[in-house]
Amino acid sequence: MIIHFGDFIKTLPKQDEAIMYIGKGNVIIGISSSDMNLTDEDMLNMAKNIFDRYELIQAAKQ
Amino acid sequence: MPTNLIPAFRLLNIDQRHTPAILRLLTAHELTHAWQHQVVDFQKFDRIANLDEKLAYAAAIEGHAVFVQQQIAEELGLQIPQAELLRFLSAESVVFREPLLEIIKNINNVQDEKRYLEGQKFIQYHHEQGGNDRVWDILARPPVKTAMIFHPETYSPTQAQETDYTALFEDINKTYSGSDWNSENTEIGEMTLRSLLMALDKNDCEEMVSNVSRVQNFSLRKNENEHKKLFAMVVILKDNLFINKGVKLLGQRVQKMFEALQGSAIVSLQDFLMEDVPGIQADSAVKVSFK
Repeated sequence: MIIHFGDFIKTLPKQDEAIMYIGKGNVIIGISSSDMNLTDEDMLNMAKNIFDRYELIQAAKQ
Repeated sequence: MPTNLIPAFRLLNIDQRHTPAILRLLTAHELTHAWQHQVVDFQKFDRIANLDEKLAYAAAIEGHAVFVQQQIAEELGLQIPQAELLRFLSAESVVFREPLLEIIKNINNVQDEKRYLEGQKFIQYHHEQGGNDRVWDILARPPVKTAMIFHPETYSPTQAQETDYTALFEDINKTYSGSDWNSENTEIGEMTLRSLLMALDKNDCEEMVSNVSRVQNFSLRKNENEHKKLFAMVVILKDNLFINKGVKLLGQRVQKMFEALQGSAIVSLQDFLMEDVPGIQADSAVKVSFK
């Protein structure tokens, strides 16, 4: 059993899932998962998608 | 008298001679709530859906009760029992030997402490600005963000037009849509952010909070399998210059909580590794993985 950020006490049966914090520009994305069969690459792709969405929202504000 | 108070006072080494005075002050606190109930539309509280707005309202209500309690303590010369009662409400008051319980207590207590004590400072500020009339006006038209509790001069009873960041997680949400998944996509306000950062040193926590502009949080859970979960959090900073420090502090926060759990008898913690994330176009990245 481990602690995840955002939701504190969680079980983590699979050991290959991680917690990541990725910062770019003025945005930090934190991702963690449990028993989702996500690889590092999956998590990084999710982060990339969120960064892209952030750029779209910022562009729409201009 | 609530039966759990005496053991709680004993745990905190509160001198039993103060018990009658503390009970008078607690009565003043609760009677203030009864008084508020006659003047303020408390049903409004139940109609608030936004968590941060709800916490801000609760802080104003509790802060007012602590403020009145403080006035009565001064009037009756009960400053020492009042200080003991405030210690009772503060996060550092009880220390658990079990690290897990200590962490859970700290997370909960940081929010409780902020609600009562920062709420009191918020009400005190507005009382100094416009007396009781202003305080009652604020209780009738409560602050809409917990950031206003920490920065009383920014008080407003209406939500400002702000960017909606729920779309940040739209694609992830679509990937896992369906009745067997439960998702939440909410903004995190200053009070919740402070409780999330409680593992950091005080100065680091203050530095982080002062550099954060917005936080949007997404959580996903599988209905029939409680182990399947995904969490994503987007922290938008006021300035690009804080990006490396911000990532470092968030990583440190996880590391400190894990380290604090090493001696736990309830949870067994896997060894974890903290490292840079290679192969990503970013200013800064850390990864905590489990050996």
